[in-house]
Amino acid sequence: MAGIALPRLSAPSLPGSVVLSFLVLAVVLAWSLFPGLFTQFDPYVGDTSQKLLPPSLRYWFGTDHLGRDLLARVVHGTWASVTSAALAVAVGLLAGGLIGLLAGFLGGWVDTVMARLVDVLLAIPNFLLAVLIVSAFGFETTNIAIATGVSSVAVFARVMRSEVLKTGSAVFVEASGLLGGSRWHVLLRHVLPNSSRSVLALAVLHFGTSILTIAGLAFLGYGDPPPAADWGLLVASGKDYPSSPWLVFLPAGVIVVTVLAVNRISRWIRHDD
Amino acid sequence: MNTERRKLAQLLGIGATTLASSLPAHGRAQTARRDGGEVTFLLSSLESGWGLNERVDTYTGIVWGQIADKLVHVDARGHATGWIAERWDENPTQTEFVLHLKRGVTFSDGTPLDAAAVAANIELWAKGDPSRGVGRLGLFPSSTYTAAEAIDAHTLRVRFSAPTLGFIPTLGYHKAVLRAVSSLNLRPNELGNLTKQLGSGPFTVRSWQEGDNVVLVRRPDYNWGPSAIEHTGPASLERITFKVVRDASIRGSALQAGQADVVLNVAPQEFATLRGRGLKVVAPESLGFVSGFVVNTRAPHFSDVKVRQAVQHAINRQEILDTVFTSDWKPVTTFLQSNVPEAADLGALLAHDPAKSRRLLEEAGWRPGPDGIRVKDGQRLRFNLFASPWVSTSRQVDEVIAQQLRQVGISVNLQVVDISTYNARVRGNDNVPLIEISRSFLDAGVVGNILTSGPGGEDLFRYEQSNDELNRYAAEIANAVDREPRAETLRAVQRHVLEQALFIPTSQLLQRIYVQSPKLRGEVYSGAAYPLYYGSWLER
Amino acid sequence: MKARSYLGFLLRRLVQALVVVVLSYTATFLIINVLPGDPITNMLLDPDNGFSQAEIAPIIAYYGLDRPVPEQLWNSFSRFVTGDLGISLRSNLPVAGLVLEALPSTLVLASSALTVALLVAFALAYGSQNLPPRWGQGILRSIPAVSLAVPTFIIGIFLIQLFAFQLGLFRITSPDSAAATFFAALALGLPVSAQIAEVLITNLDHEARQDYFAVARSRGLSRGALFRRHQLKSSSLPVVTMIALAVGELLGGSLITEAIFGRKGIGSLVQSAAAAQDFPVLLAVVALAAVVFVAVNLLADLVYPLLDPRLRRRRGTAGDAA
Repeated sequence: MAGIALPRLSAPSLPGSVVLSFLVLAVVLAWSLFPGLFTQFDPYVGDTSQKLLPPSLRYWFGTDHLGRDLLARVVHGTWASVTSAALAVAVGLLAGGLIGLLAGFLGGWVDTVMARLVDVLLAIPNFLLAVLIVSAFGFETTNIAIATGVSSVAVFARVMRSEVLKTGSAVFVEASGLLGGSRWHVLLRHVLPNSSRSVLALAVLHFGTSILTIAGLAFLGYGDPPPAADWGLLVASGKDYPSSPWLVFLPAGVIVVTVLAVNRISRWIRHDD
Repeated sequence: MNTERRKLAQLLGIGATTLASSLPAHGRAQTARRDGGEVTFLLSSLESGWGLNERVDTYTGIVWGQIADKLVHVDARGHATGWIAERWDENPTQTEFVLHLKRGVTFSDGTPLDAAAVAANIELWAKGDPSRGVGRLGLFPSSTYTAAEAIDAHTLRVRFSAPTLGFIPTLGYHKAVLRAVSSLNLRPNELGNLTKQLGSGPFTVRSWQEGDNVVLVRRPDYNWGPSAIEHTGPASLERITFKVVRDASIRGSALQAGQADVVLNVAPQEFATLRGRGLKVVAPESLGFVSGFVVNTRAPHFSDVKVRQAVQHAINRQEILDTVFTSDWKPVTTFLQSNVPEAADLGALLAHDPAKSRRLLEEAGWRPGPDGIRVKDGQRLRFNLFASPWVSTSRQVDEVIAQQLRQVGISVNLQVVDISTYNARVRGNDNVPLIEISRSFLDAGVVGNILTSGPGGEDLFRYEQSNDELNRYAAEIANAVDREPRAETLRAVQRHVLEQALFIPTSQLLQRIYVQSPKLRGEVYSGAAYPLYYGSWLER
Repeated sequence: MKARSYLGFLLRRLVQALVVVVLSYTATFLIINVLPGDPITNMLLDPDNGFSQAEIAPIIAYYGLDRPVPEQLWNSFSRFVTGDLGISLRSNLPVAGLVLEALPSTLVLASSALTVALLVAFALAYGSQNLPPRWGQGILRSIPAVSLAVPTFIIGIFLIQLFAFQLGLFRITSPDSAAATFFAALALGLPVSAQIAEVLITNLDHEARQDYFAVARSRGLSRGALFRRHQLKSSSLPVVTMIALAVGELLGGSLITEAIFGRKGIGSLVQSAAAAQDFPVLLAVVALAAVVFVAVNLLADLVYPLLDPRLRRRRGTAGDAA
């Protein structure tokens, strides 16, 4: 989309913490795309004689109960964690964005109906909705991700709607309407690009929360079966071995660092500070 | 005392139970007995409610063992001794049993536990009550059951239409708990109300919260424990609290921190740490099948005996023991637990021999594909393996097995699902070749029921009645009136089933492992590894 | 005049709230029934549960599962309104009883968590304004961001390991004790406090940049007095909104917190119901959660205009949609 009001990317204006956050994200992205470059160990088949070893120079993150290198599992699990969180965001962004856009742009009874829909989505706590969906459709990470996305629809819809109302009343949009642009033209050329900054910030923020929510649901046992290596699942299965605490704290650390980076970037997009 | 002597006892094939139960008889132990004290027992679930028959599960069964009595006590060798039934007579054809009941036994509401009450219990085990949604008791020999009738207040006769060798041992099953007649007759929406479910046991329910905890206090007038426990009068322990803590690691940590006295089932890899802190790991043997897989011969590729045998020999059972378990687990030698009297020693049939597996697969026409997975007629040798949702270590064992089968070119897609998904996707699905089994029984006659689809048969291998050898074995076991010849048949069955690789054992089944404070003494375990705390006490 | 317009507003919000409750119930019901067949029959047909054909019929009749879905929905909803939540498939006990038994514990947990969250949030907010800028404020201001990035179960596990097992401050076996409740509330409340703190700090910063602030300072008001009299007062309105929204999060978060701390409550009820596909329980809990959420937000909305005269005026014109 042309004209997205992204913050300036010129290097001097970037705060150090944002640079660091982008670096973290770059590593995460690289892990998910080219896991083989970062570890020589097989994430699924372990050497059972090397089980439950603490972190060392050979095994940076230690090994799990089957003697698999934990770092290899974290790296190879990145793709699943990133895509499930992205799926959740996509669901929330597309459905919520559409609802908010229509509500704000069309107004009237459409707005009222959409408002009740959003109220319903808000009224069912997201964890409960997720549990409901997985118990009806099966315990799978995809279902968890969709459920997480569905519960974020309300927030996206609200932000989108208020942005549309704000930019819709802006002078230049009104002017464009007077100049004879069709309503949809105005929507596509002016309203949408101008509201995308806060929506983008929200999407990035939700990417982080989705990682946490999905990890939480995986912790409760609603995720994919092994040998899947989603970060949440790694923490969940690691907690059974309290005498090997690295199995919990290292994958959890990766989650925390990633979410921190994502949240920092979201705030930077929102405020450009 | 304990580990050393228990190890010795295990070597001698006696098992932890026998030793523990004989302990109170020794003078030294006797003097240590202390009256009073509270025990906190942590377990992962109390979720199946307090209803009748099959509603009793592996967790609630532990609680029931303290609040209700059974007709007989069955020890780890399958030997039945008197409890509420002091003694019994059986006719030579094993079709009629006369039970002589202990006198003066009452339920906790004061009503007598007499022949009429026992008959009512047996009737409900055998038939269930469809109008109230109560199924029959699965292991009870219902197919041959005719009637239970009171002869007088303390004697009753139970009749069967055919020889039923397994009747008496089944009375010691953890689900065969004696309940007050009023509890048997509760309305459907009250069946799960533990306050109204009354037993005659050494402890009574002080308070309970559905799915979370049960607090028991001892019954002051109790004096009718099983003869296997050398203790009389009320229990020594004053109070037992059963509390659900879902997370195994938190259960373990709570025990270490002294916040609990017994915890059920923590990850075996934690045993070493726990022992290092002076805690005791009790892994009582239980009668039943070992942990392993039953093969559905209708599943794709598994009608071929060579494929089945290839799987049998591709599994490295020692690696499973070393990786998932500890030295508490004994290697398997057949598909029956080693303490089952009829268990055979067929370890040679279960040897790890990947070369042989590869040869068998070659002979069967399976050639390695480009990715190492074998291919035949354009089909890859792969299948879904579902971890049992009832056995906490099943997932880890299956992960190891998946690795091992991969090495001979069989691709295993491990599935871990919840109980309801498991039921929906595995039960009755002829595409699933290996079905994990984790079943306890008190009489090996049960083996006869799994072989075919004959009367009362479960037909686990899915031959229905088309396999003549299995048909013959099933009939011989069903018609047996004497244990010795039946044991002979059972040993032949084991050889046949393992040679045909219809059952693929993986490890000894220790479904209930108790990690506990060394101060808790004198508890006795039933043949299915359920504890009885009637005779136990807490050392100072 | 004002009273009448407030009454109209109240009625309109009341109707909206009812509509939302009915729709939430319907949505939940449909999610459960969207798959072919129905969960209750599926479960009864599972051979492991030992039900025979003859046993299944009366239970199906009780739930009316042989009828069309809209009729089932109507029956179920009309029962719900009268307080009959059905019978748990798992435990054979009435669902209403199970929920009532579980509710107090969760209410105690959620309200303690909210209290903890508010205390922590206000403490952080106060510090963010009044501590030495570089070290004190900088650290305090980064706390919400960090605690928002830590999975709640990690916080819970950490608190238990440290305070229960290492320091022995509470017993995991009596999770309803005051000490255990406090730490459970801390685990549940921390993420909520972080959200409130972020909003508070943003607002306080905004107020601090206003002209009156400099004037007040030049008149010699102490930082504390300034914080209490000016900054806090004008920042508390968004906090009311945050609290109302946090109700849902506290209810949902109780799932993890109760599981970790071994508390018996709505969260653990939901977890075991989900594992057993005990749909009457799930339906009842989700519907009740929606009722609670809607009620609390209704209350917040009704209180709002009374708190802030500016809003009272605006209410007349602004839409009340999403």
